[in-house]
Amino acid sequence: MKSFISVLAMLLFIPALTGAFNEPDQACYRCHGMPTLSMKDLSSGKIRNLSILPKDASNSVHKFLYCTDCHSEDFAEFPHPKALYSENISCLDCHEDDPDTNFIQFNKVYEAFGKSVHVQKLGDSFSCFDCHEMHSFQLHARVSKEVQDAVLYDNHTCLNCHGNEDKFNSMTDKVFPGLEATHYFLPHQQLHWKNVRCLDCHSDPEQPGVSHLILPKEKAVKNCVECHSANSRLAQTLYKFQSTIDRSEQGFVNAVILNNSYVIGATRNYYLNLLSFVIFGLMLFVLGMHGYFYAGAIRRRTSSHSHPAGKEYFYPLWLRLWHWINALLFIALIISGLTLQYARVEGDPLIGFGTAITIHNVSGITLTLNYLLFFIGNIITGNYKQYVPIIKGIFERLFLQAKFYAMGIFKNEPHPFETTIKKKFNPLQQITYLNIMYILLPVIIISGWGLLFPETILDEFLGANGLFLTALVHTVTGFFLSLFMFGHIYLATTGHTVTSNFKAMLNGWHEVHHD
Amino acid sequence: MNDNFKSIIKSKRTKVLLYIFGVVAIIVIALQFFYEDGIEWYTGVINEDLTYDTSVELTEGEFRNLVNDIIYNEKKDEAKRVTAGVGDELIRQERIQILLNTPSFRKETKFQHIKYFDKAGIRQYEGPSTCLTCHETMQVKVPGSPPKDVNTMDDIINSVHFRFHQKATGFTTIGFDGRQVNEKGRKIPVGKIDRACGIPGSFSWTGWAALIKTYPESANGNEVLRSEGCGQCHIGGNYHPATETMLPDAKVPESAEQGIDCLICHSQQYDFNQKFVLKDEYGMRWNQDRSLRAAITVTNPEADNCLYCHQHNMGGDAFEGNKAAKSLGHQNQRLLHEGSKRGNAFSPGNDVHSAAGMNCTDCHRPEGHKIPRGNKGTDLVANDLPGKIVSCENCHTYAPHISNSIESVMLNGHVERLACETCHIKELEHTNVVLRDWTNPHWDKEEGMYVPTDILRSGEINIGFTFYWFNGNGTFLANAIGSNPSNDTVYNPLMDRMTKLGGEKAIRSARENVLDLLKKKNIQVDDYMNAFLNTLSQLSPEQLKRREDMVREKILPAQKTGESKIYPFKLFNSRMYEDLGNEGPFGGMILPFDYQVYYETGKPLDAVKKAISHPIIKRMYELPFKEYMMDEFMKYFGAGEWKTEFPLTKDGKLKNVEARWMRQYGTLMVNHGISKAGRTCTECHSPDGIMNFEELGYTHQRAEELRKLPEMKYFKNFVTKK
Repeated sequence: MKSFISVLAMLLFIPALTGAFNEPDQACYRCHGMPTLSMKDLSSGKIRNLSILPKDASNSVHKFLYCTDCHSEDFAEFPHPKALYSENISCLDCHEDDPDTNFIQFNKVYEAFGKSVHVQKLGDSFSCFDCHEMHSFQLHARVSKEVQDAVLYDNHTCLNCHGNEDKFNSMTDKVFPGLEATHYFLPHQQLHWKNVRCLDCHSDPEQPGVSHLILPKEKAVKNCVECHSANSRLAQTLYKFQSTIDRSEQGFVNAVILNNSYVIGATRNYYLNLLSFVIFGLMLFVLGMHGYFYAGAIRRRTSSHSHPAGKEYFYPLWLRLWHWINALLFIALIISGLTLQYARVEGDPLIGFGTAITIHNVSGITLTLNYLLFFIGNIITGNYKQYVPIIKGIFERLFLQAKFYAMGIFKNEPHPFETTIKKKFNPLQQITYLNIMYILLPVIIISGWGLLFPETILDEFLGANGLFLTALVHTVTGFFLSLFMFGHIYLATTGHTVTSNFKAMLNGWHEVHHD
Repeated sequence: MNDNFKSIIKSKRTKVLLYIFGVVAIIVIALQFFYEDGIEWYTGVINEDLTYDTSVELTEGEFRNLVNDIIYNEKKDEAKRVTAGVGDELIRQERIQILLNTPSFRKETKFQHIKYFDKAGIRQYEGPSTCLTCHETMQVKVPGSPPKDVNTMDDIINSVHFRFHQKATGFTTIGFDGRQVNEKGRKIPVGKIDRACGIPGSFSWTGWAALIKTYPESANGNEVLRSEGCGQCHIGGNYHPATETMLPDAKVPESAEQGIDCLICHSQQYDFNQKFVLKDEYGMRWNQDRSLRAAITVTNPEADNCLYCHQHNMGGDAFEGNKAAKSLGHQNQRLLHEGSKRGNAFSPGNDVHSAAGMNCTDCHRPEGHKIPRGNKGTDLVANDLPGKIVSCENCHTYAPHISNSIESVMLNGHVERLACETCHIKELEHTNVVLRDWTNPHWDKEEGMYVPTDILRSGEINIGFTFYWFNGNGTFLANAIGSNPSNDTVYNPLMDRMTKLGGEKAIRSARENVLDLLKKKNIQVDDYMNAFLNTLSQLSPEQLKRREDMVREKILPAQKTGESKIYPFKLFNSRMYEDLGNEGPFGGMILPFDYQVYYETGKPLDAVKKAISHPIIKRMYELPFKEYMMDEFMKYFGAGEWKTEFPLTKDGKLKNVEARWMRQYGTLMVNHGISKAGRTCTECHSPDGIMNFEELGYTHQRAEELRKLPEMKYFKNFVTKK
């Protein structure tokens, strides 16, 4: 039928104006190809755009149609007969029983559209064409390889009115609020809008492929974890049609999403997760075994053991302050960080997702300031010297210290290196703290600031998504710092007595023993 | 701790550092004190406290009389306006009298400052200090951000109207080296102050204020002193233009701040007869109207305020609607320039917006004292608000033809490719100058002085102005840059159309003038004419080759950026003296004339000698200026490096100086003089249409199509509404 119409149109059209055109559409484009062909409709005050750009039309899903496949052939006449001005075209005219486009579920789309907030509020005069420019219509989300392109295209459909005050005002009497204002609750607005479609939060989730039941704003998704979780809603909507699954083989949950971005809570790697649990478990096991034997050793201690020979002021106030603030921040960051990483729709694992974001951001910024305090304090007081290792014979000393922790400690042997005010750390401590304070902490702070302002991160680094890499570094570093904290607390009990190190860190006075 | 500190102080290294610090501090402090004097010494400018005889203190009685007079006249003007339709003059007079005696008629004066001055006891206008007593700060409203308070004096001295240059980005100018002016790299001061334009004294330093002896017919050939110079319009009142901020880190002296003429823009009763050149013990400067009458009638600027100066470069000085020309001065009357620069007046008879009573600031919406001139332009004039759009679309939308007809729809379709001005400016004033020879002045009997010779004046389409593609940018010598979006391969006006005078009629008319005006000068007419009929004939083969390469490599890529439309451009070329030691394939450094010598003696070379002997021009040919700005300037100019060989030798001879026409026609945007009725379809779409489509880069086939559109069967009867 369609092809018959085309042929008919072609026959009718050729002699109409000049007789010079083989392609029937060419005659229409003579005028309608002018990009500014438009009229000011004086009754409504609106400008009606009458142009169809050939370059847009040739990218459209309708590019194989002739103008007169949808429009009346009588338009061939110029000037156009006035009767045609009220021509009424519906998508269903062609698509109702079109097997080629069954996958779009046009009937469901129409049904959903009828229930959408637009039709409910604006009435039947609101038609398909108020959102969709049929002449340039594309199927982006289903076919596009680049998710951001699809997002841009689909969001443009909404922003035509919701991002354009004049257009918005011509549709409704409501005051144009501005998108920034209505999405005040959404952090990193620009980043979200670049990576997520309006539809992903604003359409009915029950019919993910239909996408035309646009919800009133009260019913839109506002719960972060709907997307920021293992079973992210995005996998059913925006990324449903993604066909390229590059990272799934490397064990990433929600792999399709990850091709283009990093989504807190949704980006998880099965193997990395497993590995982290194994490492953490092993560490707890080792510490537990060590503790068991160490407890035995403590019981065997003689009474003379606990009497200190004197006191020395080891830890000045600023250092103690820094230390305990750091400790509290670590705890806050670990708890909030775990919440973000393992967010769930069914209920948050530790604290609320939103609370976790706030705590994590505030603590992270405070941690940076605290680190600066530590850094400057170290330079001014010369405390940094504690961290400078003597290279000569370092391996012997490390071995000696390790041997003590592995064996000597259980026999209540004396510490191999006496702690003095000039050398507060034993060799093993020194090398660990050096790494923690001057490598891992800076790394986690810098990557953290990057994630706080994700717009500043390089889009791409060595072919990988910059945001993704930054997040990976941040998470892995965080994991190792958490491990350190457990080890640190445990080893703090291995002072002269179980509590002596804690006391020293609280009051600054280190007990000196000569045994 | 204390001992520690003492030992640090005593160490040798510390002592050396302290000495160095001390010396630097002394130099910095010395600069603070002597910088201004240093600048004066270096540039030869004079700064003195400025006084004006027009600033007079009124007694209480005089003040009351003044107020009553202003209010009475305001009422009377309004009464005249209201009764304008009354045919019988006697009846009209009677009605005017009745209205004047009606208390409720125009109860409120529009001059709010009458009330303010009365209350504040202001009985004398002393200049900006009087304004600043209340307006020390002002609120500036920028669309889209909250209003903010700024220092009024800072706002004005950083505006183009005061300093007429700008050192920052925001020029729509692309140098012949392909770089957008000041966009990247070192920024140099550019603007009207030093633009490469061919008007003598365009180096405003050398042409700020002058007194000329003339022998006009109206005085029966007796000597009459006349005023001339850039300072008649610019708001600085000094002995030189407000160029302080052009130099590095320089500040505007207090005396120059207090010399600013606030009233010329704000007063509705400014007496232009007070604008003439004063000569005092320090030098020459422009007088101002600082009377209380002018001060008390201040408002926001209205169209006439702007046009007192700007009509000069639109309709021209001699344009009959030019109001400034009606008050030329109580003494030393100002000279009027013949011909018009752009030939499109903004007056009720010529422009639909003026006829509608609109103010300039309706379109050029100011932010404080900064006034936008739009984001397009070919001239190298500084712009206070570079990004701000001033365009027809701001009010008329992109569908400006609003009747619900096919014709309107089709006209709206043209908006993509045609600027509004293309159809809605149909002709320019007939005084519009196309070819001006500065190097062969002739005696003007009426004015009694020597004036430059205009070889061609015309306001006709394709003679006085024509169409070019334009993407908003111009070259360093005012040539429209743009390309034909449908075929960007052949359009290359800098090697072609902009180097020729188009049309037989134009050539014939120019020839007649050459024969007539220059017959006494012993000139080879064909050689003389060939230089402006084909400006490239002035280039050597090497220069021509270099020009071709530069246009291809630097300008053509710039042509293809942005979105181009067809705009009308006023055409312009002039013959001037150039320093050929600093010449590139697009022209040489143009040398200024001294007004007095030029007008009085008619010896242009003597006028050049006098003008370039000015200290500032000498400085220009020295190393600091070369490094500071001239090298960059010449790169934009397409002439490479600035060569500092001074074109005047010690024994008073000019070196490397020759008369030349510009190597291409200047094309200046015309945007005013808008007529309501646009062009009809067939003015362009017909075999003898005004638009030469081939020259605009269309293929011959497409051009033929455009001339013979089948739709013209329908549209040929379309008549634009008057």
